[in-house]
Amino acid sequence: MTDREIADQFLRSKSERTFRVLYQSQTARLYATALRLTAGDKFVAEDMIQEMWCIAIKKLPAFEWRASLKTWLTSILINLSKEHYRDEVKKHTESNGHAQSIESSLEIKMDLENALSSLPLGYRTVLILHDVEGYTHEEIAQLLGIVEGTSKSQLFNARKLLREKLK
Amino acid sequence: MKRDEHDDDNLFQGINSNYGIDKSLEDRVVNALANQGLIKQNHRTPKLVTAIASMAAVLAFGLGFFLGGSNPEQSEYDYIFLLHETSSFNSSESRVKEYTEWTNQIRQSGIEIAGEKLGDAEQVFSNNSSNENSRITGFFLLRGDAAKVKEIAEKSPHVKYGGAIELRKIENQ
Repeated sequence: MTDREIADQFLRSKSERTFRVLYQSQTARLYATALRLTAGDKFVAEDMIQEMWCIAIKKLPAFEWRASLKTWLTSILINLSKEHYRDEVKKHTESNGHAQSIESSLEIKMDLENALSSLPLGYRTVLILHDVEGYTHEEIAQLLGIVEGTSKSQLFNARKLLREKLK
Repeated sequence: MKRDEHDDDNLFQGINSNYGIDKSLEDRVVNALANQGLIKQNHRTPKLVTAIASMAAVLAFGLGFFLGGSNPEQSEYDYIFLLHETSSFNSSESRVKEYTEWTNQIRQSGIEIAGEKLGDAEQVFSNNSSNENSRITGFFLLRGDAAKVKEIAEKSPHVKYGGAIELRKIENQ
């Protein structure tokens, strides 16, 4: 069955059983993305996955299938990670009295995954979507609401910064 | 999915992007959706009936019975703890509270658990002499991954007071 057929079946039945099929077909990859977006925070990544499914199931009847289900779910996940990041910055600012980069406080270990975790969220997001998830710049531009040129330049800068961290 | 050009710069080529995902997360999501009225949860039989049915299925399988024809429904649980007691095990009513608190803590951590205390064997049907060194006095059914379930067994009050737990995976088909 295609993703759309499963989703349509779910919309007709609203059954737990069909939802579990949908969940199991999508969540492993999305969880890997969520972990990377949250710099490896398992608990936040799990909360984001839960919230992503709640939003997705509410909006599923209006989903027009112009993008794949995976792309649509990824866009919800990215928006949730942005919200989480904003909340964290706010908390950090309130507790310290001044804005300080959260990334700068992360311990930087020189391996690929940890170096990725230390990148600013914007760079990290484009790098994950392009180099890990395999999205094109055109798709990333649609997902993030930016132009293709910005996606390309952010990827260039992200790779450059990542290489510097790995030296 | 098509790829952009200049992927030679991709440092992540060949990196496995699959991470272990906690199996209990699926239940958490299902419960969250059900609480918001977004899905209809499967009809569940009362825990005691479910537990006894699952226990019977496991024992039937273990004894080599073959239920031909229909495909049985997949069990809701992944593992069973068979609680063994020997004559040296000192059971006490005061421990009921401790067992109850233990199961509540497990539930709060997101692991599904159901269990029952069993009475003495009324009759044993066997061609072999029965093992009188220990007897099965109860069971728990759990849904979770192997590492967590083993950790739960090790820290259980039953083991603490000298009992033994036989851990078996339920063979979901």
